[in-house]
Amino acid sequence: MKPIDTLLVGQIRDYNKYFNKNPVKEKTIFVQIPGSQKPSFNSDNFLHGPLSNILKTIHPQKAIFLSSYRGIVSDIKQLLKEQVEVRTAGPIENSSITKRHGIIDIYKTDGQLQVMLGLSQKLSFGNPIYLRIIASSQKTLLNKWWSAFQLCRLATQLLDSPLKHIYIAANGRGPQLHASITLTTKQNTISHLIVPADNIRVGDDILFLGTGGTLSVNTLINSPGILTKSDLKLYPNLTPQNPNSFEDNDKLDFLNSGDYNFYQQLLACLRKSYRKGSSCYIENLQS
Amino acid sequence: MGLKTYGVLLVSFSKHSHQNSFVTAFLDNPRIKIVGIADDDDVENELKLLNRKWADRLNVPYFEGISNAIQLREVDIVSIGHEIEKRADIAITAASYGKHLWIDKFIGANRSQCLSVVEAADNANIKTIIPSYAYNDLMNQNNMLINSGQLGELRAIHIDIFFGKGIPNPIPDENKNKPFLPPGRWKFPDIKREILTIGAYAVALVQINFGPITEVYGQGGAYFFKEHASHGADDFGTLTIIDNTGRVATISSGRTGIGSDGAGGPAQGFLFGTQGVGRIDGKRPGVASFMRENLTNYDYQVNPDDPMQWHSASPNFLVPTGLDFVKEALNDFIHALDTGGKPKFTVKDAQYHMNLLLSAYESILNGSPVTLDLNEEAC
Repeated sequence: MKPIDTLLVGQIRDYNKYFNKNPVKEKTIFVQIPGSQKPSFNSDNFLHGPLSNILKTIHPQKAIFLSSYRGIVSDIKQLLKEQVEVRTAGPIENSSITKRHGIIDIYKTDGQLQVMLGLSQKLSFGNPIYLRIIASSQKTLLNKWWSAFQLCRLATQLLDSPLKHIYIAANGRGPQLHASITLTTKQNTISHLIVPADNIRVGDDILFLGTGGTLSVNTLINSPGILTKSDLKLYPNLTPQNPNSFEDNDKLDFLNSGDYNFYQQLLACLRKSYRKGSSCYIENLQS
Repeated sequence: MGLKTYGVLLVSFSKHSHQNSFVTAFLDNPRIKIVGIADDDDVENELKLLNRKWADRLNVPYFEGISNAIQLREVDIVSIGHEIEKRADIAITAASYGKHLWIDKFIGANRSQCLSVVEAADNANIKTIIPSYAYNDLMNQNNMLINSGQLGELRAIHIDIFFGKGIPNPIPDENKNKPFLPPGRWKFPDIKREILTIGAYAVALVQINFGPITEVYGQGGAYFFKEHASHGADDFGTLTIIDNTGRVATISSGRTGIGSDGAGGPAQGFLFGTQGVGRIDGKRPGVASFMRENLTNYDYQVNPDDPMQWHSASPNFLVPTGLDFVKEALNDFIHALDTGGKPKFTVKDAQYHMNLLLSAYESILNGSPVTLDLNEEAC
């Protein structure tokens, strides 16, 4: 069995974001999540196939899940059983296992968000009042949930206050689900977190208001583009995304019971909206 | 025979209104003649002096007593720029004499006033327009993208509109958690309710794009200005609006202070369609203007007589070069008067608009979403 350091498990977009163009540590392998089409390229450190099969030939020390999928619970169970350290970018639908694997914050790998976080802590920014994020789109309900999870974590970090209540208004079903989340903190500061339908790649478009100023990330302005006679083509911005910082977290972060219950309610709201199309309100959070 | 010229009576230059912003469009349009300025005979001296100053500047008579002035034969249109609480009575009086109505932003201060204006306008069979919402660049860009067909079916909207004016100061602890002030009182000597004042533009855009609204959810209670916090009155807030097909709109709006933006405050939006996302920006097109002197000799002070900058601009590094919405609205109104057509935003639209804004305030006050009954009229 081939020993490796780290398995990164995700979608092609995760591979492109973190793996393809970044220097990653040796003995790191990327595994594409099930249910997605195998890409045309070949690479020694890119694997496609059920994780359970892959684990018959390799033994990682650590597995990091950047995206979710149906079947993730059993894969994580197997990894934990084999004493592999597991980290995920969101909760899974199993409370006992969720408490045993670490949580990663995607924004910690994003140079742009790190700069924003630093600037927001300057005195001249004043007190945070409002944060609006339009996230990159996701296809499946589970990944929309993880996207909302990451946005909530980022929002509470930037607004520097625990959640008080949350309201979700959603439209569309399946991959077309668009969720507009209003999050209110105990300081009455507000965030709009928007998880759009899977027909766009806006990137994270962010507006952050403080009493002393505004911080914004405008995806159109930040994207290099080519103007032709009839069209404008935009390319991804080149802000570095450092995958190694997933591994460099000095201390593992676990979800406590209160947080876990909240994010399960969030999933239930999204699922209800996903199936029926309706709004949902979660209040008196114990976060 | 030449085209008819319409006489306009300007009713009040109240400091909470935009009457002064309408004057240039009235003067520039050859189909319009300003025939006088009127106000109540008992208005405070400061406003009376301002009204008189404008009358002198425009070389037209100033009338003390609105009703008598409205009745003059040369008045075809009444432009109402009085305090929000007084607009409905003036509109109803004007309608009763068959005069057409040009009204600044809001037709009344509450649902019953709004309903009275709509009924009076219907009964008098006059033309009405609220020029502030349907003709600006944000709306024009919205219409262009929607009509392009490239977005597919519109499913959701997000709008950010802020006025980067005034200088926020730290909120004293005792004012941080004041109970939220109920809707109804909109003006104070030192502040305006800003969800109403600024959020109104975004709500109108959503109203024009969406079908009948079924749910409104509002959030407030975080403050930029100590003046607003001391009243428990909004300088900033957010809304979520859902229509009868499930379309979702989110809005953030407020007065955020001069430090918040280099273009006087963003006015931008995202239109989420089934085929793609459109981005609109009411401050564009524009000319970016960044001069060395603005940095090296910068000593900007907000006028102490106008601390919230209701009548002054904040430092601006972008000069918008889009259409003048007042002129566009005036052309639409004249077209409606000539042809019997309907302007894009009438008192009926304004009634519905106010109902949505009041619902947002009620939602903030109750701490939960407000459901609107589709079977009921807006008021």
